[in-house]
Amino acid sequence: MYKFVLKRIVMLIPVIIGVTFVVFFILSVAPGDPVLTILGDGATDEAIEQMREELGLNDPLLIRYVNYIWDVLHGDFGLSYKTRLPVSDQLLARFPNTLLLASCGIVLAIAFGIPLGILSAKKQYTFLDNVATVGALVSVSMPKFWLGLLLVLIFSLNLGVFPSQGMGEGVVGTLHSLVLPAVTLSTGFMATIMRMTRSSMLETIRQDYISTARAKGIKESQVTIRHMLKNALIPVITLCGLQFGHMLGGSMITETVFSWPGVGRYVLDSIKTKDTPAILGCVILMSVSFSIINLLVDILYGYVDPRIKSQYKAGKL
Amino acid sequence: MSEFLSVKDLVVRYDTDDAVVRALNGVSLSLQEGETLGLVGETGAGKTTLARSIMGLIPSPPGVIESGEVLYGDEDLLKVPERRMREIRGKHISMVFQDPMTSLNPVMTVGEQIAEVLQNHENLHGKEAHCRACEMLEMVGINADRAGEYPHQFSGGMKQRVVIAIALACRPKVLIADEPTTALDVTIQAQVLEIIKRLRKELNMTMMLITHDLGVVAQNCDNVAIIYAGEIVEYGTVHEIFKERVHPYTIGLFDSIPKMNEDVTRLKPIVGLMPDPTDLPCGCKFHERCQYCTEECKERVPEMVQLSPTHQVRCIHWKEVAAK
Repeated sequence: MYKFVLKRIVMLIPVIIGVTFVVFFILSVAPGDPVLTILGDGATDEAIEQMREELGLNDPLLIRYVNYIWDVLHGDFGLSYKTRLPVSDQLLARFPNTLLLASCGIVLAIAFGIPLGILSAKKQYTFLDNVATVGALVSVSMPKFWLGLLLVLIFSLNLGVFPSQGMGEGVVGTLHSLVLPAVTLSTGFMATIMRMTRSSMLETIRQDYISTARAKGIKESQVTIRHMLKNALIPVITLCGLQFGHMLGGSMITETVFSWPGVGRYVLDSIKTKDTPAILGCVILMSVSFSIINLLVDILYGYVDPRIKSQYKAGKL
Repeated sequence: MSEFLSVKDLVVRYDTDDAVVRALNGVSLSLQEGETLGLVGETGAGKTTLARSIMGLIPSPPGVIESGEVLYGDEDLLKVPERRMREIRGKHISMVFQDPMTSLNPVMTVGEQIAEVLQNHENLHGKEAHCRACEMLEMVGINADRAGEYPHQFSGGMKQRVVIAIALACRPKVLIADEPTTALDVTIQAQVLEIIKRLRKELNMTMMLITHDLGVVAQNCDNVAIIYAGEIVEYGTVHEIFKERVHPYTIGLFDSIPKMNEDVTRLKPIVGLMPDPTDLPCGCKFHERCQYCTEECKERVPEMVQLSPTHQVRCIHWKEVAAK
């Protein structure tokens, strides 16, 4: 098991090198000169040349890349072109906010998605199942920016119960300001998780071991939870892991709508100003967190399904 | 000996989108305490439906129990509340399913799966239940050390033994074994049957053994019911069925077994196929395949004829057949 985890961590290295190189390359060949962005249009040729030298932009691409990675390995993500502040400080300040929002989002999505999915599967083709199906379709098709604005309109402007913007102070304030963004973020995922749980449950309901369990005379609720759910969980876990990874890096729309001071908004702002060090920092953070989540999901498989665990042990995966 | 478990005129159908499947069409049989009844028939004859009806495990929808009674003692199992049925399942009547590969939960250890029945019916807690589960494993010839292992770590025959251990953990009075050996290879079949036979004696169980292997019936059963297209066509003691069979279908079944003392190059199957259960023929359900078929057979549903206190047959021309 430890060997498996270690192997997976080592595999992170090529992933990160690949991702950063692609992003680095694309940003270098993309039109637009960062120096002009920093100095403004009225800068003299001399100042521009001096700045280029300072930023190392005159070196060949590969050398610049190697230098960058070397710095990153020493914990230095460079200075933002726009603010001239260290990117690492910005990321450190913003990542916890994104993590908080994403965690609340995924918890909400799981807390409602899985039970609704179970219910929907157990009552297949009934009124309840149909309502849940239509509801899921509606929530999946609703764009996040629209849902966010709608919630702001209802709960902030009309009812005035939740703040529409930013992040509150203190625990209560934070939680209070978290409600609308978290609901916006989780709705679509909740529906996907619900549908996945439903179809996975329906597959296990037909299995022979469910008959064996029923023949033991145990309660239907025990049959459902102990026998069906645990077997139906594998695809649902995969889905939740992927979605959590997406949320960690990609809740840009939600963060922008609610002015949430997180990584998603930061990366969006950086892309607008072609702030290469900031974009690269965000990309590295996202790919690392995505890979770690995936590793955690793989480890979790082992705990849910003993067949997978024994394969880990045998070193087959 | 008293009548212990009996099924009377059971009619079960499955309603699907485009057709009604008539799975059981008035099945009656009864088991005395300690008796072993063999239920023999082709695939799709309704054997498993019968077993599941007794257990109250007909999936509904699509399954509908139209009429009939399943009497256990003086209770009609089709009418008792679900709560009582749960007490009966596993404690009074247990079932062993056909395919051991799929009938164990892959994410629970075998020990847990056996202990679950005990916790449910005998109010045993953690440790006690675990000890009893280990005893059960030993009883079916599996080392108790393996209780903590998962089904995928066992072979097919061992899995079936675990399934038997689950079924017998609460020492039920009736065991329904639904083709317990069909999915196993021959040497393992013998082992599993040996275990069932031994435990049946030890626990003094009544058993219904569903199979399409007549050899298994001969070795294990007291009485035999031959089922065809959802009806029992012949019902009698092992001796009566093996030596004095009079239903053309039963005779066809026996004739299709190659004989050891004759030089056979071709098997002798019963001509034709079993009728489509969504579209059963009028009259005798077997008439399309029967060499004794007359006009009467096509129109009139034959009733059960009592040949001896134990021997019944559902054929209009049984005398003619018996004379041959």
